[in-house]
This record gives sequence, structure tokens and C-alpha cells, in this order.
Amino acid sequence: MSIPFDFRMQLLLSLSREISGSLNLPQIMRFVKFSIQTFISNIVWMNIFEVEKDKLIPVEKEEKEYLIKNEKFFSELKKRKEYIYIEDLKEKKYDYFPFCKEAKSALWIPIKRWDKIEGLFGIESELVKGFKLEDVIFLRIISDFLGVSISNIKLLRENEERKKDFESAYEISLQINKPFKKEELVKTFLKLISEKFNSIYTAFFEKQGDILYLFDYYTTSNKISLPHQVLIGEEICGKSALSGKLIKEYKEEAEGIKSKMAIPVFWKENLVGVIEIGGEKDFSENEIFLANLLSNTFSLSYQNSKYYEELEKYINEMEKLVYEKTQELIKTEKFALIGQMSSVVIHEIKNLLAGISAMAEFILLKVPDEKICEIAKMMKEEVEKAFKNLSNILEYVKPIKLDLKKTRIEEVIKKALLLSQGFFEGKNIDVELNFEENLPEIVMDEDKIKEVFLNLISNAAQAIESKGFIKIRGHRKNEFVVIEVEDNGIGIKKEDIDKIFEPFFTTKKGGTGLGLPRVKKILDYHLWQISVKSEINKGSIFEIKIPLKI
Amino acid sequence: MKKKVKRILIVEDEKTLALTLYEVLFTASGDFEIIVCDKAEDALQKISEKEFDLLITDLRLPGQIDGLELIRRLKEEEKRIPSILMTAYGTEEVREEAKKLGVKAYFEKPFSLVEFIKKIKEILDVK
Repeated sequence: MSIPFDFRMQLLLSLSREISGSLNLPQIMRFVKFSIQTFISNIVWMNIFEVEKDKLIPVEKEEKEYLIKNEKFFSELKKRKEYIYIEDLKEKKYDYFPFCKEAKSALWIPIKRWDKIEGLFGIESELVKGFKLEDVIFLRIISDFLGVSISNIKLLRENEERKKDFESAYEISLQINKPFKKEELVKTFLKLISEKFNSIYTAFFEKQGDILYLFDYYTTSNKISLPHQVLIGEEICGKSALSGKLIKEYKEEAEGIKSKMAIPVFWKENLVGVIEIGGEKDFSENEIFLANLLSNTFSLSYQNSKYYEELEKYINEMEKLVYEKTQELIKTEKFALIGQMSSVVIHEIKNLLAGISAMAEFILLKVPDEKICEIAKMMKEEVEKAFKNLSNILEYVKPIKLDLKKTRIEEVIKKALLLSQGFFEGKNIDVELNFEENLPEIVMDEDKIKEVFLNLISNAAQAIESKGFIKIRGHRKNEFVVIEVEDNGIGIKKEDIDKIFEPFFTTKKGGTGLGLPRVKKILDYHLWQISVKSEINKGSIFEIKIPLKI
Repeated sequence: MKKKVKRILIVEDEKTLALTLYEVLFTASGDFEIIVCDKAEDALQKISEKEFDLLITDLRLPGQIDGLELIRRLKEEEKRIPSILMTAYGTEEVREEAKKLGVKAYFEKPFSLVEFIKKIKEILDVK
């Protein structure tokens, strides 16, 4: 039975309206199905497929298994680009062709839009040669309508997806744009990316020189192992670093990873690192776009976190400095007060002791009894000892007045060495002096600095039990002159090193514990620094750093 | 001819030392008259009343005037009494100042009594 022409036209008109007016493919499908069934009889099967990345996605879902696996059929269709009409399905050459049980003939029309295959339109008839020429033309017109519709729907869908991507990029940027520390930022970012891309792993490699070091990674699998470092140019992330471009790979690997993507991270045209994502499916154009977008956002936050960290470090350093200086001030203030007080107390005691000493001597002079004289002698000696100690303390607590002059430090040290000869007696000590030529003259109070070296050299000599060496070196290092006094004596215990410059700390028998504190005090007044390295039974090195510019 | 008694004024607030100095001078072979006081103000009073051959004073004293100031005032009043300064506060400055004021001897505490008596005898020219 032939359908009148005007009826066909009317049908096409309403179909075109319906198709262009709807963005709902199943709804379009139902309408197309209905129209075609009224127009062409004996139809046993019909479906529309969307082409998505070399895959066919049926509009009516139950057909999925039926076609998807048939790659041969799809490549055949792509090759032809025009419709395939199989008049008799019994013919052997079409044995790869999928068809339903009742079908005798089949018509497949590619749904095209600007030469791009957007979908497939398949119809099967229960008759051999079930489609007439006019049917084919009619169906091709419908397929063209469908092409417009499907491509519109795709565009719309892409727009929707892109909108979502922007939204999630915005969400992610909001979440990472916080005053994070670098480690925190990377951790947060990797987790967000991993969730967004549904990845198996997401890693960040930081660039240092020619090497990318694995900074951190996030993974949903516990079997992932990533290299700790990658050379630029090697592996996907190294290649991406070399080219400065996003690189995508699609190959099956262990742990279900099928595709990888490496995105370079730049800050002001300098590569700072690479983000690598591994997933179980190929990354879409949208995902690539999103990855690039997020890499930029990340780079900004990454740089901020570095600045933030530097700032925090700087603030911490400043706080520490303020604290230390305050403590020093408190100590100095306290010390000045203690100094004043002890000075008064010491003089009072000295006065009293002078009386006692005179009395003891008086007894010695006037009393003939030997026993009493012996006791008086002991009294006098003890008082003298007390006096000596008090004088040492007094010397230490009183403020230092510097008489500054430009002097050659080598000469001062040589004088100190001569003065300390008494401490070398009965020992076999090699002394080695080694001063760099042309050391500049240094502003100092010669007597006080001599005292410093006398103290250090005599300490060194005392640290040597019977045989050893003392090496005194002097050299220029940038804006400093560095003097080292080294001995191979008994050394200082690790736990004592911090205490040796504190007053009254001593390990020497009969020591006052004021020698090194006095040294430190004199050097502090000169704004010179002293430090010590020591190992028990190996020896000690005292280093004095003398700034040439103050 | 009768030996002239040498009159010595000791200004020292530290009782033990004052007493010991008194005792040691008293028993020393010499004819000394010893007067002890503990303030420079009292010393000035005593000097205005009697003539002294020697002044032995501590540097730091209770009251407004210290040992050096006492010596300075006596110098200003042109009372030429030889003086000995004792101190537990020995500093370069004090030593210099004492020298300027013509102090005959300077003893930093504690000092040897033997040395001390020797110096006194030397100043007073007694054997």
C-alpha cells in the first residue's frame, strides 16, 4: 500500500518540529518509532545509537549488549560512511552483522552532522527486501534531522559538563586558596583532584634541578608504588616537564590503571612541578581542560603556600630573635643588678676578712704557743683563699670598660702564649701557630683580648694530661676573621657544652667557674662571637668570629 | 733627751681591724699614742684639737666623708699630716687619686701586719 505524498510531507514536517523542539533523545526515539511504524510496515526492530568515542550507546538501553561488541560492524559502517542496506540477511557475507531473530533485511544509516558520525540509526524488517527506495530516502531525511538533534544535545551536554567543571574548578580553588603550608596544600589538592577525576592515584612531583621528586600522592589503592624521583624527559611526568605540555597516555598497566595524564605546573613561566593522574578510563576533552585549569589554580596556591611558609619562617625567626634579645636584656639587667649587689656584699666581706686576717697575723706575731700559731696560720691562709675567690667574682661582675685600639691579633695571641707558659710546665705540649698572611688589624682592647687568649690557652694546656698539641689558627672568611684554638685534651662532655660559659660552672678542681664566662663577657663587649666544638677524649676547638664591619 | 711620743690617728669602722691595728701598734717597739675613731667627721674634730704625726684611714667610712675626702680636706686646710690609706675597694682610680693627694702608703686589704708596721716606722722615722 502506497502512502500518499502529502501525508509523507506532513509526517516529515511534524517529525522535524518534534525533533528540533526536543532535547530528550528517548522522547524523540519514541516519536520516530511511532512515525516510521505508521509509514513503513513489517518493522521488527529499530533503535538509535549515539556514537561516543568509538562506542555505540543505544537510546533504548536493552540493546546495549547486542551491538557494542561488534567492532567489525562499526568499522565497516565508518568505512562506508553511507547507509548499509542488506536486502537479505541470509547472505553469508554479512554473518558478522547483528540482527534480531525475526529480521530478514536490515537498513543502517549513519546519523551525520558536518560529516561527523554522531550516531547510528538501525531498522530491521521481517521481509526480504523490506525497504523500498522511497523508504530509504524518507529514513535518511529523518536521520539528518536526528543528526542535528543529537549534535545539539551533545553540545548542550558538553556545555553542562563544562559548567560543572568550572564549578568544581571554582570549588577546588576555593578549598585550596587558604593559608596552607605546602605539605597541607598538596595533600588537600591531591585528594580533591582524585575525587574529581575518580583517579586511582594522583601525585605531585616537585622539580628540583633536573629531577622531579615525588612530593606526595593520594591513592585509592594500597598497591600503588610510585618512583621517588624521575629525571626530566623520562616517564610521562618527565616528558610533560620537558615539553611543558599536558601529556596523556592510554595503556593498560597494573592495578587497573588504563590511562595516565601528566600536567605541568608553572609559576611565571618556570616549571615548578608536574601533577600525574592515573585512572581506569580514558580522560575526556573536558577533563583535560579541567586539569589544565586546575594546574594553574594550584600553581597560584602553591606559590602562596611557599610565600606563606617563608613568611611564617621569617616571623618565627623574628619572634625567636625578639625572645632571645629580651632574655639577654633581662639577663644583662639582672646581671647588672646582681653585679652591683655582689660588689657591695663582696666589699663588706673583704673588709671583715681583712680584720680577721690582721687578727690572725697578730696572734702569729704575739702568741708564743706553737699550736695556737699553727691554727692562726691556717686561719690566715683560708682567709687569703676566700679573698682570692672574692676578687675573681668581683672582677667578673664589674662592668667592663674597653680601651679600643687597632691591633694585630697575632701579636696579642703570641703575648698571651708567653704569659701562659706556666701552664705548660711538666707537660709535653706542641704549640702550632698558623695565621693567614695579611690579616687585617682589628679594633680591640688589647689587654682584655690578651686575657681571653691567656684563658683559652691555659684551659687548653690544662685539658692535656701529659702530652698533646695546641693549634692556634687565624684566617679571614668573608667579612670575618676567624681564630681557632684547638687542643687534643680531655674534651668537654656533650651535656656540659652549653654550660661552660655560665658563671660558676666548673669541672676543674679548684676552678672558680668564672674563666670562660669572663672570656664570653669580654667578647660580648667586643661583639665577637665564640663557639665551641668538643668531643670527649678527643679535644676541643674554640672558635672566635671577629666581624670586620660592625 | 726624752723621746717624742708619736701620735697616730686611726680611722676605721671595722672594729676587728681597728682593734688589731691598735693592739699591734700599742705593743710595737715605738712610743706611740694611738687614737681610734670610726668616722671622718670625728677624725676632723680630733685633728682640730690635737696635733697628729700620722693618719691611718680606711677609704670607705660611715658618714658623709670618706677616707680620700678626709685627706683632701686636711690638705686644703694645710694640715700636713702624713697619711696611709687602707681599702678593700682597690681600683686604679683610687690609687691614682691617693698618689695625687700625697698619701704616703696605700694598703689593699688584707695586708700583712709586718709590712704595715714596717711602713709606719719608716714614715715616722722610728726604729
